[in-house]
Amino acid sequence: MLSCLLPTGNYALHLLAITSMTMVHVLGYNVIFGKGKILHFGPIAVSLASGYGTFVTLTWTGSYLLAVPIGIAMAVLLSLLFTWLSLRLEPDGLGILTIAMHQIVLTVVLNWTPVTRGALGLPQIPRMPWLQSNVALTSAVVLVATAWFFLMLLFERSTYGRQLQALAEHEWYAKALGINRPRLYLIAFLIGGIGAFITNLFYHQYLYLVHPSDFLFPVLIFYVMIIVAGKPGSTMGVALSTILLIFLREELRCLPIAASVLGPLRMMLFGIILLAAVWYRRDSLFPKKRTI
Amino acid sequence: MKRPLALLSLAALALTACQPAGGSTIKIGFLGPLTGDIAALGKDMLNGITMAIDDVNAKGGVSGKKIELVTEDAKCTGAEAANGAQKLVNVDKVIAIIGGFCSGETLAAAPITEAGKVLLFSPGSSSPDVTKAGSFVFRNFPSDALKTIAMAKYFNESGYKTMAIITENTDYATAQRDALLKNFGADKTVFNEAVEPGTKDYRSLITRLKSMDFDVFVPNGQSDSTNAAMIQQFREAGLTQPIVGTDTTDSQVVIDIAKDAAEGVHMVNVPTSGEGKTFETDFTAKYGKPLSSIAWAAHSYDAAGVLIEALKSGAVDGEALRQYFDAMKEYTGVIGTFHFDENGDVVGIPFVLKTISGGKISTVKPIPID
Repeated sequence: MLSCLLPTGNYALHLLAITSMTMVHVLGYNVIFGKGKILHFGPIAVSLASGYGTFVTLTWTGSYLLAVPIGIAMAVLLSLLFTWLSLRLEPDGLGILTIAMHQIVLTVVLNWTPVTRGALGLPQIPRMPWLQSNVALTSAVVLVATAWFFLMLLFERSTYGRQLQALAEHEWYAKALGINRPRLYLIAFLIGGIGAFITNLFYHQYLYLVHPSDFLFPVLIFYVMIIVAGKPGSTMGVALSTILLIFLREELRCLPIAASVLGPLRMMLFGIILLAAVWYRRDSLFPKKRTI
Repeated sequence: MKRPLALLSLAALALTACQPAGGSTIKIGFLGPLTGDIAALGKDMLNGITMAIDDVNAKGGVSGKKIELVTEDAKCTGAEAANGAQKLVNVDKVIAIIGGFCSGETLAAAPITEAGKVLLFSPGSSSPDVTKAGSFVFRNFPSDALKTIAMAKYFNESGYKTMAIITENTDYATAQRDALLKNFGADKTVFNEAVEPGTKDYRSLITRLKSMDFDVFVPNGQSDSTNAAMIQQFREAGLTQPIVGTDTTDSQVVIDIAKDAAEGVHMVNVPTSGEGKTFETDFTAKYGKPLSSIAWAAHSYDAAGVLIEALKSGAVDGEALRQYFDAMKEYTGVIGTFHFDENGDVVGIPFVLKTISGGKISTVKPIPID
């Protein structure tokens, strides 16, 4: 059991890879949902669009040179759509519509079978030539995740980051001070979209598979939980929370508990963590606007 | 400076360290859906495997070593299957994994078992994609390509000219529909609709079906409860056409949910593995009635059985197991006598027509295919 709780070798490499890959997307999403406090529940829709955009193109053309720009374009297009919606809808309306968008994109993927192969997914995804081994892929993704982390840290402390926070906390005052809401929301959604693209670019090469079952709502719930537990908007907190929660999720497998019991137990434990985090941050999670 | 370097070296050492293999037990992994929509099928699978392992352990194990089963829940998703397979291969150091059940599980786990030279044996994945999943991948559940040949043959023999099919949009059901359309004829399929996974209300689709002319209805869901709902609502609407399902209709759950509506429903599946024989009696005595179907338990029991035979022959690692299966002439288990082709697909499993009559599933006749 100890060798499992203190992972070594390939398993440690695996945990490092999935943590790094998840962190990129979650940190990007944290800019929108955590920092900007925008009720956006569609990050998995962006994942779906960019992931399928990339790997359907790759399957049809065999070229990453074509697949990568298509994947980026899909992420950017959906991010633009979400930006537009966020500027025109009230927070609750946006929340519902982004959930609907997730369902719409998933439905397209599941039913556009001549292109996406529907529920069968896309198996045997070839890796980029320089990412053939797991060591190479993990090294690359750790480097990218580290760079992304520092970029997010810079953003958090930049003028844009502070302006986004100001908008989230006191929208009218911030606007009165000349903060450009459309521009900031566009930047936030683009960061989220590019984060989704990077994660998907690596993750499906790592699995050699793109499968619609990996884009369902439980993934979104896990992301939201990471952000809430790590402190919404905090790059450092969310990065640490990603590491801790993924390790917790995977290390729970090491406990001598039957797998059939562990599944529900894990969900309950995560539910309790989420409840505790929300309770602890009940005043700061989505602060009330100040009134005079 | 020395301290960070030393820490870095330690970390590098930890990352590349290997766990000692061997020990007093032989470790085999299980990877399947133990939670989620099709947990019932996964639990039947697990019980079948446990039963085979308990049997051999009670007789002293293999070469004096007991077999230890390490279980991982893959939830019928690729991501969870990859996580589970990584732990089984790299932490538990199993020499073989029985699983996955869903084809997405098997396809995600296959690259990991290939890299670790660990045998992956699926007793439930039927997608044609699994055929090309890797040289360490075997299955004793026939590909949809074969099953639907048997279905098409039965339809033609029965004089069914046209078919209506409702498919749950999952990998298993979609692959099955595509293969059936290919083998029976897309032009003979007058109604072909897909519904989102987990749908239980088919009344609007069935209302449309009432105005159509077709000879046979195929409920093509991922799970038995889905098929039960389709069958119940189909009969409730007054439709009288014959219903022919497949594996996931071959389940006690269909009878329990659909009740009278299930009477007369036919299924094309592998033989009702062990029904009325010692296996079913023994299984029921130990675990109670199967949660879904005895067939899944039997396929899994035989997967463990053939693996135990390979271990008894002296195979001690994944490579030796692979060579054993490649060279294996035949194995006679509960589900029949089988061997594997060059892709690891099962050869020799026959198909039969079954029916639900008097609240029980029974075999009607074999459907031999060339």
